[in-house]
Amino acid sequence: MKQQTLRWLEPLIIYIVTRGLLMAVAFFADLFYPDPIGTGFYHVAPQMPWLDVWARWDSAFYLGIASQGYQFNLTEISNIAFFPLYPLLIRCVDFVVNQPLISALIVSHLAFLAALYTLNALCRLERFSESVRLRTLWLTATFPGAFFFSAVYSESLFLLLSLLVFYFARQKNWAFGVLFAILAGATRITGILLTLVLFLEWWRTQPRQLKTGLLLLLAPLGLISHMVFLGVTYADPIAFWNVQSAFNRTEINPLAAIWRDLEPLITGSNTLPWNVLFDLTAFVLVLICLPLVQKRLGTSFTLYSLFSVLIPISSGTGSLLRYVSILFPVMIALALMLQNHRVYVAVQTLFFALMLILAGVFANWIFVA
Amino acid sequence: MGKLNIAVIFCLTLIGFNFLLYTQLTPSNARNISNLPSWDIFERPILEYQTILGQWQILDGQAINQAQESLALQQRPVSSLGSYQLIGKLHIKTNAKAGLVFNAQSKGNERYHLVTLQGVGQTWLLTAGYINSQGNILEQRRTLIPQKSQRVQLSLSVGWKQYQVELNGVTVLKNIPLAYRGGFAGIWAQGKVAVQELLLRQTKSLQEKTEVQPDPSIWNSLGGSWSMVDHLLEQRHVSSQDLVLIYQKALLFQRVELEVLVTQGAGVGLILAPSSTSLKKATLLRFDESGNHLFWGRYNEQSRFIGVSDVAINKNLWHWRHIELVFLPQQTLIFLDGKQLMMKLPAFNSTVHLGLLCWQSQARFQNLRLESSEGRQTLFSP
Repeated sequence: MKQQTLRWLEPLIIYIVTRGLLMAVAFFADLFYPDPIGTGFYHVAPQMPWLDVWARWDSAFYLGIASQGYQFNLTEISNIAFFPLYPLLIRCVDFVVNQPLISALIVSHLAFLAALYTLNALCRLERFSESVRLRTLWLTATFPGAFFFSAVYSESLFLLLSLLVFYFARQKNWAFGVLFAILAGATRITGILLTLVLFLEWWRTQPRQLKTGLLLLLAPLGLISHMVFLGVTYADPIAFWNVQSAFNRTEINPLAAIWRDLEPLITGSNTLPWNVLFDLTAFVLVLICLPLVQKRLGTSFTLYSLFSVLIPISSGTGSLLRYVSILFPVMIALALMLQNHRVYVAVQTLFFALMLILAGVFANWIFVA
Repeated sequence: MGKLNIAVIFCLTLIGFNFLLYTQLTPSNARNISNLPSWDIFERPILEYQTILGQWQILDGQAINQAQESLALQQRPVSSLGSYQLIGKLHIKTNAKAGLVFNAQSKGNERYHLVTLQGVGQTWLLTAGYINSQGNILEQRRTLIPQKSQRVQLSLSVGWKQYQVELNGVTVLKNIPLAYRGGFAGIWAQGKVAVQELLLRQTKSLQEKTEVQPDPSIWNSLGGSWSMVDHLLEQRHVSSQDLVLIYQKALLFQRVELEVLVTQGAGVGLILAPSSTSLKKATLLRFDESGNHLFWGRYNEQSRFIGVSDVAINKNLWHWRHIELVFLPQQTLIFLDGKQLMMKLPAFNSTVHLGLLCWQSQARFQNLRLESSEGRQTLFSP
């Protein structure tokens, strides 16, 4: 009985240990360098520096949407590029809390804790060994980009929703799978991939029920609702896409995007920025893990992981480290790969250290991903 | 869980999400922007000016404050579609100067349009101009208006290509040309000034669609998103590819003229192509990336561009430029802003398709007029 209780506490313990350390490191990193090192800084709540460090870069867009609504100017960087569910939840919490930053962090942290529990449940459902389950949880919580789960970013919410879609799809509970896919589609553009996941999972079932298949057609409603909203409000249903050029993202193919990053290094004309190195490494990691994802988890997990990196990479490799951190199938594959305890400890230690360092870097306004 | 319960959860989720979306995240039509928190979000990296945050009380117009030279801006939800009105209720002491400012350039935020009022005796000196990338204020218009009170309502009605200034509800300056108006708006002050209120109000519904795609039966797009807004043709998408809008009909030209305004980059020009579906063997005349030269060249069989000749010109970005081609039997003359250039194009003695081109740039085109063997025609003009 005691052991069972302890197992249920494991995600909570992982959450407390990793988030607690992150909070401390980010705060002290900011304290250690009181002047901003990076450029483009702002302070949402300078009176609360231990929380303020978690609102950097894109956080202002989410907080801006939550507090002032969407704004759209096609030729300028504007918050229309960001999806509405996360800022809406911030707004809902803020009705009670009345401090947008605290509200945002409550949403992010609760979503991440819930995501760890859902991942725990999914690993049990897939009948992975205890060590693989635990390693998956630790790797997810300490991946170098996992500090974004503690920031004012939609990563933790999307991780939770995508996990719930997979969890319910594996249980053939299609109604809830569709429900969470709708919500995921309103959180990020890649949420639409979960519709594909549901269809692939449904296709595997025997006998296939047409009624269920029709229900799955509702899965893109989150994205469609948002597009209708944009169409009605701004006469541009794909404003979130059209505004990407203002963020220096251009439509190119993935190979061209990788070549664009590597070219200066190969031709010797320039050095590779360290954050691009992280992005490319994360991409390579996904490619390495995909065969194992396919073997142990199936096509839906594989295609979801592959397209989750191909969609952002089609407009540039920037921020891939962050996008990969929400790919739990990759974390499961890594946990399966790292069977040797010493190797696992070495990788885990490296991940943890990198995550803490990057959190400190992020807190000091240096762009990570 | 029963099917009915699941259906109820579905409906509630969808209705709730959409309800919150429309009620919570839509910018309202009129907002008081003077009392929002976090004035410095987005502003500090952009502005080199001292923000007035913490030094001014922008509350009720009672507290007159001294400012050396101050600027406070707020990013506002200004749509790229509608026009808007920026209203400032100001209290300006004698010899002090204050006004309204709004973002003027699409990228880099280097320039702002600025309208100021200065009390000179019993008169207001009203000036309209812009702040350039060096931070200098350049004057475009000025006028004197009798001053009845130190408290005034200054209002700017900002449209697509021009704006006008109203003082206490009376229009005092009209048709001030505008290259671009963006999403920043705010106040500027020097001396003893107070701001009672700063309002931003859309004057045109966001839902109203004013742009249409160029008629595909007349125009063929070889890349880019081209749209017509109030007879103004616009290419908004910036790309390192040649973005071309080409006239479907091949004509034997005698004369072509149009006006072009480059809003980003400089690589904008004209195409004369044998085909309306490709750039093979087309002739290109366009500004170079710096805007300091005009050059021409040809695309080969593989649609690869080969330059032939260029000529130095006066860089004059942010102004409408008039380009005119006069087709003679032996050569084609080029006129820029009414002056003939030394550089000439070869003769076009057979029919060709006329095209407009953008490369790593954004531009607006107007007053495209053609004279050909089929007579005179105006393709679009305001």
